[in-house]
Amino acid sequence: MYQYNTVDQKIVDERVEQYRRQVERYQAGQLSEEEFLPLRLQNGLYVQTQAPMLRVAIPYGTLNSKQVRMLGHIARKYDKGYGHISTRQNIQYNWPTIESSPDILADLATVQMHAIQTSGNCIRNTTTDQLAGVAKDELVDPRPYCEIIRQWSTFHPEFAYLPRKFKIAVSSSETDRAATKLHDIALFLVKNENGELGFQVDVGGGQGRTPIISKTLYDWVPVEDILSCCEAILRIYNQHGRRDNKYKARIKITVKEMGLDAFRERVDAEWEVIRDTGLKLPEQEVERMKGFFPAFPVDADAASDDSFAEHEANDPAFARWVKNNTVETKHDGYRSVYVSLKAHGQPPGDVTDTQLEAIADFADEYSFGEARTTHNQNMVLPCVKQADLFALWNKLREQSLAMPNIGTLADMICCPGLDFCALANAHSIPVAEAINERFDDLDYLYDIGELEIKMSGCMNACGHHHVGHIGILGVDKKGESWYQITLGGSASNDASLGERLGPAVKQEDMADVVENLIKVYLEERQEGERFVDTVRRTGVAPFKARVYPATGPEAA
Amino acid sequence: MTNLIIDGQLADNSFTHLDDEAALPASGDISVSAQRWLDEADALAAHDGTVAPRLNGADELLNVVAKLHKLEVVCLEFPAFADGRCYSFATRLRRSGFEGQIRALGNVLRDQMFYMQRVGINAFEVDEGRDAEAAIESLKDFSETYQAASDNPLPVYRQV
Repeated sequence: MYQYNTVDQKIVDERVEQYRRQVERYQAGQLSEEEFLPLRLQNGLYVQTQAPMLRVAIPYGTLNSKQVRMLGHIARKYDKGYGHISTRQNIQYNWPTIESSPDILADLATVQMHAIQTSGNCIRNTTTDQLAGVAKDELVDPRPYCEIIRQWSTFHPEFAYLPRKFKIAVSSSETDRAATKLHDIALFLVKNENGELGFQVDVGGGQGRTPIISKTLYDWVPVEDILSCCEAILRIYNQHGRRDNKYKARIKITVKEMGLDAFRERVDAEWEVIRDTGLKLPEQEVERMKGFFPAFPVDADAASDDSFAEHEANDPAFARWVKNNTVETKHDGYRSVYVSLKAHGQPPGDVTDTQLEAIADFADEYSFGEARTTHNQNMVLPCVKQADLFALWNKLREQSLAMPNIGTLADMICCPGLDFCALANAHSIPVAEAINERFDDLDYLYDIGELEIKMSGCMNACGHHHVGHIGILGVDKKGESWYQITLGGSASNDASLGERLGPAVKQEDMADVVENLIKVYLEERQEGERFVDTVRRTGVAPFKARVYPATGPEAA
Repeated sequence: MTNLIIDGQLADNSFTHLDDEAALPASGDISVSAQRWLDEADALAAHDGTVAPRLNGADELLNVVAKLHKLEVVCLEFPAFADGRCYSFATRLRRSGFEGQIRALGNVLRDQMFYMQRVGINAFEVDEGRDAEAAIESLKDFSETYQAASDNPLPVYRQV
């Protein structure tokens, strides 16, 4: 993975010192709350219900074991012993103090990490596939391009005070695992008819109050022009994005109001001027970046091992975990292992200091020293030899990290909600817990199959509810948490927004409602249909009828 | 005490920033709104002193760019420090070949000045009541930069 050189290190170290001075000035009363706000946000620090929250960047979700260990150290030293993996592959700490935040950033800098631009109206952490570099369905490894974008976007002087936040994702696989079409700029590595590598450039995707699936701005942009293309898009957005209304300030609204063609015309005109400047990406630079992401030095005979098949045959629990929580890689005899952060009794995505340290050890022992975070709020050991899977499984179980529930109903995406977040209108963690308790029978979960439940505690949609197969949005009704339900959303290649089921339901009814939805699916499904496929075929009507039997949907 | 920084040094401020209703003074350096600069072009051409157009992010930059060769100073006004439109204006002015002074006015605070400097702003009228001398330090917050900008046309990987 990418290694800092002296320039990268100096930039991050100088950032820590700059921020430390800003905190001192804030505490001395020389910076107002309003003036300090964007400064702390662009260093990852929010002020939340309970305490400040610090969001640490994990560029494109890739970590080495040393970094994972540091994340555990920070959880223990500055927090209450845990962190929370976010839907942008970052990690958040819920209990640091403002005073300690410069020290946390200084600790992070010792392992080439930071919290730069994890919040604020700037270009955020670029995300990608958690299986990058090992995925079987990958065209090329997207990470060198992500790192190039990271460097271009980090401290970009012109784009630190945009109308609103700006998110970029890169996908290079047949199955989009990074919710790419829900990003302000969605980049798809593709080949043109001549077989040349480039990017399909989509723009204007996003969630929040007005969810929109991205639209294709350019079908194919040569790799060498991708930075000038992105810069042109950002420049047009910076000048024309709305600044009068926070809820209409994302580029998705700019594109919608201007029209895609008119927006493209402006970008074209700008791009023309800057295409052949210092923004041109030379092939040598791409090659240099690729050099940081070599293929793992795998054992060519790994597949000849017999013990793996024996364990699978003899131990159904192991076989179940392998089936659910691991996937084949492009290397024979190696699998990617999902480390489930969705054990019962813990908020989805939470991970403790000791678990982080254990994951770091497992990465060293079994996965070439690397780990990943996923936008589904789990972690991944990207490349594990099949002969090691049984031992790893046992160790993961000791850490409660082997719940075989990846991709099932129990693998919920969930924001921190009212329990932690100052923006939230409703609880989300207790609802996730209630649903988990209701569906604690693994065989039942497997029968239900692939099902994405995504839950947000407010319409900012951090929990991606618009694109959940079942989306749950918390709303406040006279101080109580109620929930609106949508069905049929997806964040993958078939990206779609869920359709509203009916009026909001009470917190205590949520587990019943989900159970009813599942029953309708099990009755209605045809051979091979996932929940979302059935919803798309039947529409929401049969689900509505079951959930609102007395009043009927018309009562909404 | 001056609140003006030019090229990293404190400087005396010779400019008066006229609003649209204010009468033109007999002489002296002035800035006027972009609209007035267009509307009163003839009168301003005869003015005894430097005349700078003053733009905020809502103005159309191209009107100014067309006459850049005649200008010594362009003022960019930040109505709020979080309004980043003028960063793009500065970038566009510099790439059009403008080598004169680009001056930031309005809600200009030291914590934004490093970025402002990078996009090509070289003069800062620091917000009232702030220590301009201390603000100069912020121009040195970073000694390295990743991406091409007005201050350096080469990204880090092309720098030797």
